Amino acid sequence: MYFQRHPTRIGFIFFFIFFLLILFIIKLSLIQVFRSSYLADKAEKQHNHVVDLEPRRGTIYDRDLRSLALNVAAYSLFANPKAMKAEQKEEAVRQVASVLGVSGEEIARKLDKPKSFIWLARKMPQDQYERLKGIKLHGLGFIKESKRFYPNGELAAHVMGFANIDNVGLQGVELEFDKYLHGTKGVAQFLRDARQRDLMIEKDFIAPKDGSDVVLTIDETIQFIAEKALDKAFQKYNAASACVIVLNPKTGEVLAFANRPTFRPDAPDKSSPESRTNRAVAFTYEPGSVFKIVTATGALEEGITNEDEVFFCENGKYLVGNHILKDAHPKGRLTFRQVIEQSSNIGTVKVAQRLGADKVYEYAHRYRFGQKTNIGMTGEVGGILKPTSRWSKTSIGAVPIGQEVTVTAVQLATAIAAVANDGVMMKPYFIKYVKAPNGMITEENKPQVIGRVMKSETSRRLRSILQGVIDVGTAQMAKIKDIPAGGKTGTAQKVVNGTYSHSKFVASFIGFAPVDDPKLAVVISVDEPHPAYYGGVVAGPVFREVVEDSLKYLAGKKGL
Amino acid sequence: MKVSDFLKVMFVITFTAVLYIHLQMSIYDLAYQGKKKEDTVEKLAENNVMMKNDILRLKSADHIGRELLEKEKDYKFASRSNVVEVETTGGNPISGLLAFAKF
Repeated sequence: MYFQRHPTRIGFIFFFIFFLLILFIIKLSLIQVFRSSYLADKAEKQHNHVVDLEPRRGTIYDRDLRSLALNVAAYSLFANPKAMKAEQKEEAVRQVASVLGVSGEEIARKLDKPKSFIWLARKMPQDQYERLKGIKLHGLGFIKESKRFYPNGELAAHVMGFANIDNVGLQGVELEFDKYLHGTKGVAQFLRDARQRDLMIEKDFIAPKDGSDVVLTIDETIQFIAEKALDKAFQKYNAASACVIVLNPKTGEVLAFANRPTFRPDAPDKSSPESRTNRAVAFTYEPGSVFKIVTATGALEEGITNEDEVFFCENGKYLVGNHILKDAHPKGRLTFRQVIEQSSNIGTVKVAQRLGADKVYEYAHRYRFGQKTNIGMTGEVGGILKPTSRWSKTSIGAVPIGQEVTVTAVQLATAIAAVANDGVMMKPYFIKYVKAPNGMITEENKPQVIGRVMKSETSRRLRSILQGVIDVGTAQMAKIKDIPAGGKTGTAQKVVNGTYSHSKFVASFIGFAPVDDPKLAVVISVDEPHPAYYGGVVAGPVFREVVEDSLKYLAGKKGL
Repeated sequence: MKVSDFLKVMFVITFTAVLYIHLQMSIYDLAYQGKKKEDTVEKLAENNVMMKNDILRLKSADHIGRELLEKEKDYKFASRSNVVEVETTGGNPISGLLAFAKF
């Protein structure tokens, strides 16, 4: 009845409702048809959270699988300045600056930036994180990352190198094997609730591929022994630099390798570029008397002399070309054995003159002087060995005693290792193998023969002569109780302003032990030691300490 | 369609919808619980990592070597002449240790 009495009113209400319905349909169409992709994207961004999954960077091990470098969790502090009020920023400056050890101004400057995300501290030490994690300030938060951890501190720093804050290798093994170590990032997409909290509901997941592990030939204990002994000489003699290399002469494996000055791999920015330089492969120097093993090898191998032949050492002065060659301690008549034991320059040059320049060069070349050893370390240089066509009239009086020729410490190590290894030169290497996360070995180095420098019999004779250097010669400070060892000292004058200095020397010792069945070949080189500068005095004791402790350790390792 | 049939259909549809929503909420509830457990696991893992780091650093050759050298300047590796092998009877580890201690 009402409807019949008020048709206009009813019609108007009906039309109004119908109009509203049309509006709803239009709005729904706009949302679900025309703006659907835009709104869907917006919802996707709000509710989905894409996270990069950092792979585990590979671990670097020593030969016995003791960790030398590995990744550990570390927290980084970030801020969202746009979301912070002024008083929150002030509070952040007050609480954070003192813990991080930076000035308040620096924190304030970062928080003043009109950004949604800034780092306040990357990969903090654990103690800083423990002190800061209780802070509940709006706009501050922590992100868990990983950083490189070196449990041994500076040990084997020049071998391992270091990685930067983003776990990218910058030097040493960290750089050269970065492609194996760094792995591949993964990605995961999580659902997020209205409060932007991640829920454990994965929508997409690509697993990260962890990096491969690298196993070195380095023995952590022998490395420590070598570095401790080297530190003593480096500090005692106020040297400019020093290095030590320990090889297994039978295989060429590098058991220890160190330079001084050194650096902390976990804080390379706190060290100078000089301390990060790998001098043992990158610096060359005139080796001095250690080079006499070349002439000795040639003389014995060619049969031009024997251990007991007597040479007159001119009482300390001998004219070669237009140059007067001198001995540090004038000698008269010495056997060839004594020439090497007492390191007579004149005796050695007389033998070299008999051998001939071409043969001296040939044996130096057999020892691979003038060529890189290809040990696999970045920055290696090959040194200088002039062909005889470029020798002067006085070169025959210089090259055999280690002048007019430059070498690296690693070349000397390889050379003395060849003497110890029955005359067979092995290629030095420091990477044992690379192991993928699934356990498969993807790259492996095995002992590799470079060539034969001398016959086995010559090696035996030369080892006997070099034993005399330690027993009765210039290296008596290298003598080891109950362990027969052999070697050669070197006290090389450095060239300063084009002339040989009388105050700057490189003190070296190259040696091996035990003589009959050498297990270790060692090179020690100390640059500008003072006040003492003789190789036998400065480097000899280092050899003794390194070899004595290392052989005892190796004997204990193999069992009683 | 009769009203009763319509109501039956609506009941089934509504029940199914409510059940679906309940299951969805359960999933989210489990996700929140999983998130709490994840926080606990993360804390445990964090402690584990800190302990592992400390263990690695303490057992490193560098740390052990320096500690021993600080305490005893004459520290040396034992040579064969410093070590005596003790033979025990019956393979009893305790008697072996006692025999070594007496020596």
